[in-house]
Amino acid sequence: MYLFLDEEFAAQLQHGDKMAFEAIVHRYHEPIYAYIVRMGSEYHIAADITQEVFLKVCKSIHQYKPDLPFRPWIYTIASNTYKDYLKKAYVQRDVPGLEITDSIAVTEDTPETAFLENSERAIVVEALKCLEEIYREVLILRYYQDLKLEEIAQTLQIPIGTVKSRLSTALHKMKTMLVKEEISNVKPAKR
Amino acid sequence: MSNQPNDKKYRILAELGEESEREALVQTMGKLERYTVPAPPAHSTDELIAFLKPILQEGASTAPEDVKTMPTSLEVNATERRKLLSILRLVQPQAMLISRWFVLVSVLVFMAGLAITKAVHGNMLKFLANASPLLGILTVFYEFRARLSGTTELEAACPYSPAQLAVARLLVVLSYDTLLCLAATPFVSYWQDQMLWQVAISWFAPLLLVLGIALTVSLRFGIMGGCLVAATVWILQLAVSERGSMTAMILPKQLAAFGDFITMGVGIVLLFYVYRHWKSNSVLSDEQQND
Repeated sequence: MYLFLDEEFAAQLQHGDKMAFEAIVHRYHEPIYAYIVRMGSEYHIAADITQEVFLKVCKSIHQYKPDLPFRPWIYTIASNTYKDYLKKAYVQRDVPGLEITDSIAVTEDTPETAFLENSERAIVVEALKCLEEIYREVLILRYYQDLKLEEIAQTLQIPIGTVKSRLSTALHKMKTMLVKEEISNVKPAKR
Repeated sequence: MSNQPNDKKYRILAELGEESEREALVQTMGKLERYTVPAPPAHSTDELIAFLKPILQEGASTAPEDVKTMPTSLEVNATERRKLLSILRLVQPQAMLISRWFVLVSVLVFMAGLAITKAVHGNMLKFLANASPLLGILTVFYEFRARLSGTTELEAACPYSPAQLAVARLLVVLSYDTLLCLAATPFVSYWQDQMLWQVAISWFAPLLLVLGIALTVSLRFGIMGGCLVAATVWILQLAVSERGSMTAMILPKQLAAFGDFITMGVGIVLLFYVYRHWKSNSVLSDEQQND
């Protein structure tokens, strides 16, 4: 639980308060970066997109209405920025963002444990990669980013019923894919 | 993995009202936890702040100018014009999805059907009214077939929004089917001794209805499901065609005379619903972004 709400910081930021800005960046840098990575970006591109997101926050903070929740507002910017990146990359016929990264996380475990964990992780990455974007984004926002259903609806500008049905479909699809992947995954994870 | 009911996984399932396969879904969510993303290096947050602070200062000094005013009617019209133009520009490449073979075969079958009906002294008007929905279903399936190949994500990344692409495809389908049926209309009108507009309405109404059904159902069950349901409706219509149109049979007697117009209205409403759905699910356009 934070002492100050995001909305309070955002209101202060509208008056040019640098401390409020720092607080927002500290609070949201990691979640937004993780969101972009899980949506399908490679790490270095995710860092660029995250920077772009905060640049947009700076430029458009005057359009934010403090009586509305801040989280959906910033995630809307993140979602649009990521999709914009996909568009631009496609125009330039350079679509690394479409490939969900399967980079292996650095761990401090023993080689065997690390291999096992990474191969299990790769199965989840592969399954998420196969999930259509509309389902993937809802699943990521709810499960990993911990947004409430109402917040996801505001972020994606869709009815809450649609959020629920997409989330349910996403979970069922992931269940099927993970079972399939685990059965067929006798080979080591891709590097 | 916690088994407590207040665990996030159980909370999500409760929100969704998922009762079936509860444990399997909890396990699935448990597996999702394996996908950890390493945090960005600590210094990168400080670098980001250092990079953005001057921009924030600039923004603060120009804040009053940044406040967005309501767009004028001229600006709104210009935006609408731009959107319309971009859809029209898309129509040409989308029309190329209909191959020459498809055009050749559909025109030949259509014309041969009319000629045979005429030769056996059949009802050409009925043939046209029954053939136009089938043509519609086939064209929709052919034009939207890319969706079966899992290109949705690629299309989401293309410079046009999925809504614009889908509308352009719908325009291609409507234009092609209308042109083909329109070409046959004067002949049918002449041989069946009917008014031109009556002939036109008799094929246009079922065409719109079937397209509306196919695309509405496709929102939930994919293009294959949409076309199958539309084809079922078409077959049912064929089965009862001796007794007139299905809409006229469902409607009360006083309204039966307006059957074609009501069918057309239902088709337009369904197509409008589909358009709204495409639009709301589409990638937000630049104008909608708050940046």
